[in-house]
Amino acid sequence: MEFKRPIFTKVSDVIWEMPKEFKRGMLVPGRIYATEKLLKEMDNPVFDQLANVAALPGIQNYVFALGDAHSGYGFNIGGAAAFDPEEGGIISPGGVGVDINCGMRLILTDLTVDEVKPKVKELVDNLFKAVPVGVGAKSAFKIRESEFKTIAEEGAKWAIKKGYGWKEDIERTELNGTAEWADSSKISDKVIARGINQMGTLGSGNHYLEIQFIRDENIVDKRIAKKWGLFKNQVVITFHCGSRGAGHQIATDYLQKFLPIMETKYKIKIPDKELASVPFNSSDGQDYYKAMGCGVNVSFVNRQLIMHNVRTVFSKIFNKDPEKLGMRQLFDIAHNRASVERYNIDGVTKTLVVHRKGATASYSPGRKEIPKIYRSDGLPIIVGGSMETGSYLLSGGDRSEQTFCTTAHGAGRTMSRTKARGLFKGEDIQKSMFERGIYEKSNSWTGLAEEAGQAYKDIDEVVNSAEMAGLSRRIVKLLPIGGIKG
Amino acid sequence: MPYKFLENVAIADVAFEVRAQTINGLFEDCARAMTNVMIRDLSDLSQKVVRKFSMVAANIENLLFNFLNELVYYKDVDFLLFGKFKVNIRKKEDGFEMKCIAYGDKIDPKKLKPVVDVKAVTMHMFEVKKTQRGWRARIVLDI
Repeated sequence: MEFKRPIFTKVSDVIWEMPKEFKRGMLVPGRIYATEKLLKEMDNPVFDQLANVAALPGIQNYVFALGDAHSGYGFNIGGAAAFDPEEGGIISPGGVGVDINCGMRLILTDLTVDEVKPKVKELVDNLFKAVPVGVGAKSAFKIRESEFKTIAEEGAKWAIKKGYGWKEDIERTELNGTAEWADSSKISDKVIARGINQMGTLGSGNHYLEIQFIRDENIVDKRIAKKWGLFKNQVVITFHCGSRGAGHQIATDYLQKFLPIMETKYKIKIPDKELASVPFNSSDGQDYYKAMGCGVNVSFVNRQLIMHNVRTVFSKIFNKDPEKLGMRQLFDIAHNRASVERYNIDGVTKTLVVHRKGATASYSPGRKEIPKIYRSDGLPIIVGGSMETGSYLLSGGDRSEQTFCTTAHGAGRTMSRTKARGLFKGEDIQKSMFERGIYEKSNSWTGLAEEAGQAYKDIDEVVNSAEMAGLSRRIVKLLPIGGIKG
Repeated sequence: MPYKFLENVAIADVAFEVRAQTINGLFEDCARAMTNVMIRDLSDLSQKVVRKFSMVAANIENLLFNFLNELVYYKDVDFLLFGKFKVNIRKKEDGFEMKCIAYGDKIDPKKLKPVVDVKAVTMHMFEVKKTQRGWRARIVLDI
């Protein structure tokens, strides 16, 4: 299938406008936040998918793509769109993504890279055992069906009550670790059956857990870095995963529910079935929103359980309590979620449903969505790069409301998994990473090949373009020394 | 190989196209292709576990979508992957009925060569078509 490329209007060095005339039915123009190089690297279907989203009822201002954007299904990856329920605005499972509340967590330590380097192999090997990865990964946590409903409604609070975390973890998690609107009566038995087996597992694909460190020259904002507990040569742990089978099943259930009723009941016509949407203010829309809340909570618990195991592993290897190792959570942030937020549109304050798919919230300093401890600095944002190149910690930018407080979520792929598999060998990548001081462990050579650094865009350029536009600001860059992948 | 992986569709995920002479064969090869997304070599998978199931759907697209999703469900709930299928589809007055016997085994990463996990079957570019030579399907899986 051939996809055409729009003729862009340059708004600034990092903002490009895609006209409403690009595709029939578009209600608003598109805006792409990227350098010219990143824009050129984007595959053409991205723009077609953006145009499809721009045609959905109730959309406000623009449909957005960030520097890490690439084509996905339905909505593109690396995109955001906000819909006004008062104008028939929709909610869409495909706009949230199958992996509801997929996101990133960052754990601090008081350890330096010199202390950790000699033990990195031991740490990674133990993490690989403690955090199941890949196809058929089985949870080590025994969770009953009835308990799963509590997890789906309470989120991280459940984990803390059970002893899988510290009380302060919650105030360092988006939404304080709980989507309060979640209602477990809106999820199917299949969701529960898939969920109970996979709690505390990482998954595969681009999911990972990494031990990283901070070079002095990679501390960009010294004041905030210090305030947030970051210092030169410090070792931190970041990981990327989501709601596992439970979230995937919620998405599948509601896609199947919405497809037959969308046009007949709500008169919404779409060119791609993965754009299936219903009005947010309908009973169907509310059912999905409440079910999505369950997915959000399951994901918070999943990351909480993984963090519990990470703390246990570090404690064992260094023979010290995690508290004494300074293993505080810095933040946990989603990049697949629909969120109800307030924005000023042409002088009127509106409550909108902001869809971010493969995109991260970047609330500007002072916004009430930011936990109190970080509110004056802007939201902490964890941007995961490829396993070979590193990641970033950012904060929400002063001008982020132009994209409904959204910034990039990662490096973004430049080539398909199938293509990467043909070009790279997992064994070669592992060897080359080892020679560069990164000990990477995976149960899948093919999976490693698909995740090659060269299959991704330049993360520095992605975060720089967001910073130039005022969406987010760099705090530190994190470099890997070890990691696990499924 | 009766299926081919597509390079430039949904680049963070996996897309494949299947061609078969019969509709039963199409379903069987779609299921095998999906298992092949998760493990490198289907011949590594034994056929110790036999699972029989049936389902109905209003149209052939929904039947294939539901069939593949059922296999994703068995993978997550029972830790089973299947490499051989006997599918029998019958047209009914109000749609289609499928009976399937699937042969496979528990997932053992030591015996199999895992690739990537399938999160879900998507409806993106999903297509089941009758062609002059038989049947064709296009599937995009969320990875």
